[in-house]
Amino acid sequence: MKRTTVYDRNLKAKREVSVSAFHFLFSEIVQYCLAKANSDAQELERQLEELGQPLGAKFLELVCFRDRNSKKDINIIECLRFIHGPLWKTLFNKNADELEQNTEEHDTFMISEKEPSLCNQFACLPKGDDYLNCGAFVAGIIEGILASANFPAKVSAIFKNDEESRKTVFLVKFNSDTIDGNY
Amino acid sequence: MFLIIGKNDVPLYEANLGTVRKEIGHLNQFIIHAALDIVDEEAANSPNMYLKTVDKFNEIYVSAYVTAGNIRLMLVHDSRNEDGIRNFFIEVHENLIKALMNPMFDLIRGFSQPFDTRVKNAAKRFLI
Repeated sequence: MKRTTVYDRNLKAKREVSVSAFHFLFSEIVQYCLAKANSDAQELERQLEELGQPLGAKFLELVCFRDRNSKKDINIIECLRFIHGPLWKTLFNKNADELEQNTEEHDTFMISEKEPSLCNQFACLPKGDDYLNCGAFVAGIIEGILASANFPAKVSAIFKNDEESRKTVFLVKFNSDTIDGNY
Repeated sequence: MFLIIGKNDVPLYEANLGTVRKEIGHLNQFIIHAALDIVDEEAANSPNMYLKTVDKFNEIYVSAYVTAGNIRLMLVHDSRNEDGIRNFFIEVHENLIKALMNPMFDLIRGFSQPFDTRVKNAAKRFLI
């Protein structure tokens, strides 16, 4: 009998996962990290980022192959647009809400997402951790993508309160040599 | 001779596909190594993954394909066959992504035997 392997699957077939399944798994991940981080919020965010990074590299390969007909991005703006558009669509089935460049610091970009976003929807964290953002996981994914595409950057997820709504902003700060060569 | 080189210049996979008819032993390795710098330069300036023939050493050509995550596929060959090589690269790329998608995949342990079989089948179909 012939054994079926992962190579027999079709890469272009899109599969969806139910939100409840995602939340079930993600809440376990957060609890696991929380226990490992001794309830230290920054350590927890760092661990979530670390979990996201290898995923980023994989998503970059997969989404480029599926949606871009084997073309890749060779400058920073295109790569960010790619994250804002096709990638976000693969992850969350919608585009990210906004993509902006910081007017003062040109090496800093912001991708923002209105709350409640997928990762923070059911986040109920210990008191005093009001600055903790489970979006750190997504920040890790973005960081993984940029590192893999040769535009190393530091990405962090922060809350931002507007008058009307609450947002999670993914702050993308490129290393200075990345900006010099590609902008 | 076909080689897959990872992001940090680590060779991930190597196969002799009989694309160079003359016996040149380990010279293949040197030819690919020498072409790497040219590949990196061209990849930074081209949105296409397939870079066609990037380097030439006497009668031997080097073709390259660079994925979005900077994994480089390099092929040493002695006959010009652009379309065949393009199809071969695309086929290998697809299988490469499938291997990477596997959460149990470990670069240090390398690719499994089914991957090897698929690369060789692709070579038979498109290169020879």
